[in-house]
Amino acid sequence: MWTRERQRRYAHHVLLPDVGGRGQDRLTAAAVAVVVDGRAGQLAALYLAAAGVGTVVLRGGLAPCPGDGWLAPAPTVASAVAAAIAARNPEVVVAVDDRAAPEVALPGDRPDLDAAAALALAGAAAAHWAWTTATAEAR
Amino acid sequence: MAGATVAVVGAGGLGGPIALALAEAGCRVVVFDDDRVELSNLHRQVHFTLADLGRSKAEVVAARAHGRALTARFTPEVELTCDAIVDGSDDPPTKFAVAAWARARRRPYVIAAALRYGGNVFAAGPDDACYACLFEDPPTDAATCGEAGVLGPVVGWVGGVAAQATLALLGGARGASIWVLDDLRRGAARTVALARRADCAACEAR
Repeated sequence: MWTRERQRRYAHHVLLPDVGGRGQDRLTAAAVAVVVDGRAGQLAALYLAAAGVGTVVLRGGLAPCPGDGWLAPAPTVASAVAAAIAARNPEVVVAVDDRAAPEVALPGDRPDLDAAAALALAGAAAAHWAWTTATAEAR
Repeated sequence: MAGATVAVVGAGGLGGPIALALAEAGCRVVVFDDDRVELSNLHRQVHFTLADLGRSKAEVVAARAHGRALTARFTPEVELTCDAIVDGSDDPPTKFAVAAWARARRRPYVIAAALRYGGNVFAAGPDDACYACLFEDPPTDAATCGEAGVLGPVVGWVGGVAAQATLALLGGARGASIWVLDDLRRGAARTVALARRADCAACEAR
């Protein structure tokens, strides 16, 4: 349902000629899985949830999360990512380890990847996934 | 590069993650932005939460990056000490002002821009080809993200490349380059090395 809040939140997607309201609805209907052991996976999960992907499945991320600029301290990285998504976009369903969801490809993600490289990798992978999903029928 | 001070102009979709990534690499950051967090920012500005709505973008980012906030637009008159400066604003005149300020004070600089499905990142040292060698003057009809839209995660891609370019300049890399990020299918950036333009007025004025 296109509430006023939904229109505000996704205003910059609705403006895109190949996405629009129908593309945003495709994102909301979609599920994506992300391996969140590394920094790129954690950021990709945040970008996909922010973009309005309806279900984000978190895989891995069992190490403790000490907290940093993006994530608050939590018993596990996966729970920190889940809490971060809830604080940003509470309509996104966060699930753990659903085998059926397609995984976003993050080649080269490692826990020690530096933040700048992880950000570039996460943004590129999440953008490609969101674009492919949002424009699936339009193309 | 650890211990370097970097000024980051803009705390939104580009400037926010650039500041956080540079802080994580050990830089001190000084963050400029006169804007406040809105709901329409949250589809791409993943460093903000719903609890941040209405707060100063610069103050929120500076707090998360353990840096300093300047809740103002960048102006060339600003009192500022830094080793490099990065523009992540959504405003072409600000980009030209940041580039001119950096060249006048002989600081390396990075100018990042994102729109719709891609973006570009310009990086140069003080003696290299300059931003005006490439783009000449601010465009009078440039679309902003608020007018033309932007796919949310694209700003992470462009911001990450900008943060990498900044760290390379702090590490001593020289030579002007532009990364063109226009191929979502491959997620790869084309890099073009830039030479000075012979009739660049900005270079002649220095």
